[in-house]
Amino acid sequence: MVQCECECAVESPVRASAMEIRRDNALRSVYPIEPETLVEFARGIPGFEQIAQYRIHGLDAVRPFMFMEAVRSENVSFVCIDAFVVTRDYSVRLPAAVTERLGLDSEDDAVVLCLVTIGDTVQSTTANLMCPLVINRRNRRGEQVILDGSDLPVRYAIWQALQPTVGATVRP
Amino acid sequence: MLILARKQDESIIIGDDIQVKVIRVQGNQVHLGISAPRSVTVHRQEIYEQAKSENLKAAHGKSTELKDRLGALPSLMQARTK
Repeated sequence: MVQCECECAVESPVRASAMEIRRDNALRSVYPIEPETLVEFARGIPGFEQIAQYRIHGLDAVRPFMFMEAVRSENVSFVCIDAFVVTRDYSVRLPAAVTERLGLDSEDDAVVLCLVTIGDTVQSTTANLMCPLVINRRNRRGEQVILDGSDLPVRYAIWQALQPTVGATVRP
Repeated sequence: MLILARKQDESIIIGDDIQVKVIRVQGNQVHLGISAPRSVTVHRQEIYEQAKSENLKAAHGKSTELKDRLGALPSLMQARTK
């Protein structure tokens, strides 16, 4: 296990605390952030370290999916989705280091999105639950958090998750 | 690559403020304690590489092509969340 929370060599004046974000305390809606939002990933995301600014936008036709597009480079975009739509009992434990970098004081301000890897078929499309994008909706700062040590999958089949509840939504 | 020999409870310092300490050695496993400023992220390398490679797979070109690529999935999801 990685230990990064113990006795940080540099003390910050305001000590941020760790935070657990769950379905019941996260900010959620059809579009968890306004349909057209600029988000700043100060250090980029792994593999795209050089890209800091993304625009997140939705389209009614693709709800609940959203698109995340690099602002300055025309040719980098992602599909993302509210993590709690993919799986209801998801939870993200944010280390204090992350809440501090994001300036996150309250769970209510956190938006948790997953990047989606589109497969050749509906069945093979997956969401990355291990590395959620956590965004502070107050200051639009985001970070891709790697939940090292969790058993959350990098490739979670959205279709499979959908199966049991599709029937359950039909009520007499 | 710089190679240093360390015993249990000994540590190395990287830069001014990153300390890596050998906590325990058990068989072929080494437990390390890392103290670093909060601006520094620490991950096991294979986990970091997994995150990176999945991001590369998830990336597309222009977002205008994405709607078609999602196919029927959005409408299936919409049926569920109603």
